[in-house]
Amino acid sequence: MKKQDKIANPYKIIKAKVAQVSDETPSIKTFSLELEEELGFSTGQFIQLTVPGIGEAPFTPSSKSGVSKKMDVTVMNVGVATGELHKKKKGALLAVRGPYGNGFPVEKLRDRELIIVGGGCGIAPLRSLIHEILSDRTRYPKVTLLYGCRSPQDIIYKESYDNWQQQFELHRTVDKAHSGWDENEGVVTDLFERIDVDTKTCAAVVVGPPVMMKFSVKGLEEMGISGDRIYVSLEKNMTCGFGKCRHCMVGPYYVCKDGPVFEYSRVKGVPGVWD
Amino acid sequence: MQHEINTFKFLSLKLNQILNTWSVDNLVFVPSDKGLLIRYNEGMKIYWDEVPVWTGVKEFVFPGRNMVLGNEDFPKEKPIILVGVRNCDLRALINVYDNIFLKEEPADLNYKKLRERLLLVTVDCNNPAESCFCVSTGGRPYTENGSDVNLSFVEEYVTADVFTEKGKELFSDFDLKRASEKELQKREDRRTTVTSKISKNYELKYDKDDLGKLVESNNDENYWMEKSTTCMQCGGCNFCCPTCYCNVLNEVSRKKTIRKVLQWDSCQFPGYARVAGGANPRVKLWQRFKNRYYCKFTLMPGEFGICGCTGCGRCIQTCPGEIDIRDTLRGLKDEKTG
Repeated sequence: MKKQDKIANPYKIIKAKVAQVSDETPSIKTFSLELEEELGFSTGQFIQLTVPGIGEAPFTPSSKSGVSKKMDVTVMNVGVATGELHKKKKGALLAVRGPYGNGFPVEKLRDRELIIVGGGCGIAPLRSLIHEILSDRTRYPKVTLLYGCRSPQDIIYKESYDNWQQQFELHRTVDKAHSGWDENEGVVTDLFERIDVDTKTCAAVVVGPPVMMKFSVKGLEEMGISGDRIYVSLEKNMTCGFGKCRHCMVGPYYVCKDGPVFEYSRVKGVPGVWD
Repeated sequence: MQHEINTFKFLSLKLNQILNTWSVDNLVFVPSDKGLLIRYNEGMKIYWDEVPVWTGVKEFVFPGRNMVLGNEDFPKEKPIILVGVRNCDLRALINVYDNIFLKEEPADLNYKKLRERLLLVTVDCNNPAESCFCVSTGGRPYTENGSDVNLSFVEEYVTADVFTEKGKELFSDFDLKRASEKELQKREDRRTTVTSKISKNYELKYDKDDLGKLVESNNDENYWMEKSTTCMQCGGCNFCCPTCYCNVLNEVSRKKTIRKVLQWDSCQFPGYARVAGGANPRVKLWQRFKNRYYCKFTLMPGEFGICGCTGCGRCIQTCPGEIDIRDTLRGLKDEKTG
């Protein structure tokens, strides 16, 4: 009993200051946070970010995993909490708790040809994975990075692609191009014909808006990549973060603790998975 | 751990004296005429037969609103003795709430503090309501373990089964006789009669695998739409349910103190599963309506080892749309078996 008395409050937060705000697009900003205490996370895990007095929302950090007082979170302005967050300037007080969930199965991605498919703001968690890959480059024989978003203005991490282009096979596409865009125009699955890997052994990671993920996994399966080598990061309404509130459940899974990263074969056909 | 069960007996008149003694060092709650558990005062009338008890154990361990961050002071307070808890609520508390908030990591500190404060005195149901159907979902209208003490009213006597050390202490000031074989037999007969009465309220027996699969595999939109025609999405069924625990964290920070309030939520609310971007896995009412059954009959048995419906019947009595959970389940069976 004595030992049990020491259980921690699972809702405990760590206060965080906004150290820097980077405008990625008109609706997406990256907040670099300075935490009061160290916090460790693995790539693909998520945290709950509190905007004091307003609300809380789950985000996967876009910075490199590990134990640190620093963390980047890339946020699209889509609702109440994110709207208020976007008004925050350098020095503003926020709070984080976590990390929660499983993260990307790095050990299953290593030593394989890897396809990474990102859509819109979905490149944010993938940026953390890309950091992971770059820090352990020799373990990833070939990385194909496909990125799609609405228009050239909507591309985030604009400063990163030169470097990524040198490290990976990079293809980008936009739904609607304008003059000066000499890359692909169309949806991200249009880029699949450029993939040149052994589909019998490769792995794929897909993160983006639900409809983009739905068609991407379909396309990848049609190329012969089996669902147990395709990993998706699901976006559901994670409220508590650790399996006590049931908001994020799809089928029998708690996205917060069984996910957010799933082998596609596990969630294929589960009602509501892409809604 | 098998604890030797002592069964005392005393005249029901003596119960007031016992409650008075308990009230000295504890906060004692008893059932009122409205079926609420309220603070006991000497001389007040206690309504032992009112079912369902509207305030179940739920509100004592999982209050409708509870500050879970920003309020870490837990002053030492008197223990609470809940007298008149029903077995349907006890089963939910032990199998669902204790599991999710204590055994499943991470344990919830706030729940633990409230839970440890409670002593549970259960009571046999002698006068079940028409809406009671605990027997059909794997329960019984009396308690044989899990509480601290169980009281059974048998004619002019009360028998008291003492299950725990805490329960034993409650009776240490009284010189009580052991219940005789004859009295225990009378109690047994009564329990059998009540059990059989309740089982007639709902004939479809809960079977772990059977009912869960029936709910899961029924994707007939029309069926769920028809059953949810009168649903007003008020969430009443969730809030009165002893196994429902869906909750939402509300942000109530002041200045530099981060505070969070945990509040009951309902899976019947349209925004329950919606994400900020607008995606919603259960955007239609019938999908949310079905999800409630899927959660209770398909998911919870696997997660908690019991049916997520304890058959307390509160949702049946609460629903302003007069939706009867038994009717929905009965329809599933009919449809499949013809």
